[in-house]
Amino acid sequence: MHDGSRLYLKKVAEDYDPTDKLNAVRTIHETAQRGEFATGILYVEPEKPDFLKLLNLVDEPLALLPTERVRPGREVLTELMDSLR
Amino acid sequence: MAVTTPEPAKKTNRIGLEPTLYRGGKTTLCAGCGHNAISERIIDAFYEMGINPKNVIKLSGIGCSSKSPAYFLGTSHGFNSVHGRMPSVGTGAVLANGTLIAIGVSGDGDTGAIGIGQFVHLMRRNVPMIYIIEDNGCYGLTKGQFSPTADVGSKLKTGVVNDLTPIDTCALAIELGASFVARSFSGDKKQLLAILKASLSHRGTALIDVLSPCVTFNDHEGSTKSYAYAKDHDEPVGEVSFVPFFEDISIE
Repeated sequence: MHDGSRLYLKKVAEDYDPTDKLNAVRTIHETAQRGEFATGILYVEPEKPDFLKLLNLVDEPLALLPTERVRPGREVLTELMDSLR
Repeated sequence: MAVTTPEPAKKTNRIGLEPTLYRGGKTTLCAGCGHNAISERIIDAFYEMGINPKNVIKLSGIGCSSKSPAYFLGTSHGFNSVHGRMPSVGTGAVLANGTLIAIGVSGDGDTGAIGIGQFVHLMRRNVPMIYIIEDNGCYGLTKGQFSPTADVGSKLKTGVVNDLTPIDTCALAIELGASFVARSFSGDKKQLLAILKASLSHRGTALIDVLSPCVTFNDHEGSTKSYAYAKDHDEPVGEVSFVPFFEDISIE
């Protein structure tokens, strides 16, 4: 896991790979068809970027950011306007 | 000569906090409700992982399940939102303050019906939060009508049989892009605790659908969400054991 923790999944009845998306969905539907329900960690994708990373957000709470980091100065605005001329 | 015995050392976790700090108010749910067992496991997981409750935000919508954040982590931040709207409130909270550990508690109605649109977009965005569905297949707060996760053929106490296809929230979450999807049963303490601990180490949306029988409206013969049915039809895909980064591995 991201923080260095380790997740161990001991296989019981079948060779279950929780990183296999198609197999996870198949297992859910097959067990439901038998009137049973599969339990455990059904699917995991640890490396998928989360929403904060996708948005390129800073680590600090937004409310604690100083003005100079959230309000671009006049020079930045001028530069932006110049680039659009 | 008077002998004074030293007071026993108070039990604390790895960050020096006592278990009482992880508790909440006294539950007002029915005795035997599966939701209470889930709250207990949440308390255990956060205590054992050494997470400061002050760094946590609890979020919920409306329903029996959504009352339950009042019964754990009493010193955490909390937001009890409008019915089915917990995902957008949670998204806003973690975007504004990414240092918070967000845990959302919802129900099968709050998620599968009223909030299905919000649920869909939370899953596809992979918002970093734990999303627990306390799934009893009925609307317990309004006398036990079928919810969207009720199985075909399941019977209400009144004899009414459900003939609508259920929504499988786990299959849906995987399809939508959730990066951690698990299912458990409120009566399986060991498995649920391991899953909760693992979800706390995950970065992204961790969906945990927990079958949680409603002892008042959906625990009778003919129900597919009862304690008896769950015990007989639970099929683990594997044994889950979780070793946090701060513990050494020991071989039993």
